[in-house]
Amino acid sequence: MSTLIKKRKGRSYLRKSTGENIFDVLNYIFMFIVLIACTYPFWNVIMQSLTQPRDANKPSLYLWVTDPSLASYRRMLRDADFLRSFLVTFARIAAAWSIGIVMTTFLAYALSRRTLPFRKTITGIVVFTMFFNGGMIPTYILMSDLKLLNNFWVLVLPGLVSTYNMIIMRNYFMSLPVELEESAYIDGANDFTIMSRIYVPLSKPILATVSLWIIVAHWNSWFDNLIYTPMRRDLTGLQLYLNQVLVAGTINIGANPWEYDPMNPNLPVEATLKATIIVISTVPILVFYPFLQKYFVKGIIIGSLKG
Amino acid sequence: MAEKQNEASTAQAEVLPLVLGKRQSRFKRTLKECKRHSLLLVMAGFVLVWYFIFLYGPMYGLLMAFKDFSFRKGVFGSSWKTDRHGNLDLFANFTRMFKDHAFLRAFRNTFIISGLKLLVGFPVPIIFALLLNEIRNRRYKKLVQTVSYLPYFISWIVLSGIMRQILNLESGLYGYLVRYLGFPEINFLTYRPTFRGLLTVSSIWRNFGWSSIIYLAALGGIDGQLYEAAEIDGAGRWKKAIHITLPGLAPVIVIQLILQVGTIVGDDFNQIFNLYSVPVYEVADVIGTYTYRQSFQDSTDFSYSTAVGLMQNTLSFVLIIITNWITSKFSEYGIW
Repeated sequence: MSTLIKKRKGRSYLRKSTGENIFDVLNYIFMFIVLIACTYPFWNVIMQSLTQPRDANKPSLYLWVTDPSLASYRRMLRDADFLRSFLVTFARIAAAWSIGIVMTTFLAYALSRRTLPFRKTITGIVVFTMFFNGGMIPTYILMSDLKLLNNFWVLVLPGLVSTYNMIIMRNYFMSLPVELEESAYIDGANDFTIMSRIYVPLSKPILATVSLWIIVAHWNSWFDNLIYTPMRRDLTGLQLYLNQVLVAGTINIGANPWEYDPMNPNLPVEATLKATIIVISTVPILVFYPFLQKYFVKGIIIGSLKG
Repeated sequence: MAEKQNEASTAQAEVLPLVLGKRQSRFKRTLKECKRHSLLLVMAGFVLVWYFIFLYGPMYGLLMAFKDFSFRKGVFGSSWKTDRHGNLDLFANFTRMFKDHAFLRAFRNTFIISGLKLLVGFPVPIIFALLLNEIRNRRYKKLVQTVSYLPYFISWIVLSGIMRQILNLESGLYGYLVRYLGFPEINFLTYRPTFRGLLTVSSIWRNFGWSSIIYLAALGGIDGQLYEAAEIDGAGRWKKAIHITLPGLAPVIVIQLILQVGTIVGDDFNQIFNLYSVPVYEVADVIGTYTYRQSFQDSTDFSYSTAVGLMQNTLSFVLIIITNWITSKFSEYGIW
């Protein structure tokens, strides 16, 4: 675009100044560094998870592993606690998504209708919660009063609707032509039919976006798991399990000793096992990432239009 | 029916003042709308019940901040806060807070860490977006952009795990640099002088790509004709960036800046909680982590923790209201 077109000896050709050339080259290199900076830490852990037990405690750059070992994968994929934590996370995602998406759609659709009575009041009540909440302890006390502590549903019910998601969905509904509603109404359809038969099928992109937001939020959540279900080890979700293994150190994975044991050369070492659970728990995100990012970007752009 | 209603309303219009008549017709209209949209109201009402239980419900617990909470007596049964002599002293928790060394430290750290992240981190996505915008190869550009917000989707627990693996002196990448390239033998996760830097850098690393999306969208929205016109006038790349691109981004930058200033009292609990440890409490303990420890680890003083939380929430509420108000002013009058 910024190339200067100069005519010399009757011939026209494209030319960039030396300064621009240098800038371009540096810029390409800089972007390459960004690329490496964002992927290398993950690559590093993947390679580390494949190291042989005997090499595990030698520091390395982990650019490549010449003789990969799957010992730690075999070990972790048989770990009952680890696998159960996946199940708990899947269960909470399934429950929270199926109920949450319906509730979000209901409220978003209702608030998108300009003729809805008390629209401003309801919007005010809902939006206020984005700015002010009871806080950690009062919410904990409420869960205790509702007898929800140490119950699976405590992981699902408090986070069913996100006001932010609701608002981007409402904005999307509002961007659809209102004539659709009017003509269907004249034909005798009620609000629920209009929503489910006309507006929802037209809103697939935003439903996908919000679904993914819900799923990722529940995939990554752990703090509720930590404080609301202290007595139920069987309700430990994936992220809390990772927290206990990687951060708090309250769960020891694998058999002792941690150090490489020459008598037992196939016994994986702590560092490798930790790298392995990081990889296994990140794979689902990496697999869905191309799909994820497309809808997330759409969502943030829709959300910023009127948000 | 309709006739009767008409009769009634004309009769009232004769007797009652005009204003009241108008109000009544509005009431009737609302009633009619309610009937027409009864299903919508039921749908919204169903979700509102959830809002009242789970988001407004906890607010009664805020009373704890002014009480001596005991689990046995519950929020309402617990007695009000008193001082040593038994006199009513509702704000005892708040006065205690500002005499508590650990709280003041957390308060200070919250501002310093958020401030650092804002100061260093705010320009990064803007610069990244501007530079990425100059890449002509579309596929390369798309690739870099897509990869840049990958870390945003990974939880802080996993990222903390990755950082621990890499910074491990025995087996990690940094251990390699120490052993073979003579880097200083430092465990960064417990090293006080650089810990805030570690928090800042890792937070920027996780968020810059994601934050740049909004700037890239704004860049895409700048009218291409402006660039063409500038080219005809002989403007080079640099001049176009200064005179077209930056002014085009300015409103977005201002709004983002104001919004981020509004969140400065908030702390990134997930990040700090998963990275900090006792040796770095001095520089990294923030209000969120402090409150957590006060209620679940070091003690179970729920009243005091509630008071701390209430103070933080109120402060951030006020800040957000102020900054939102400023933003709306800007978006109303900001023409550039």
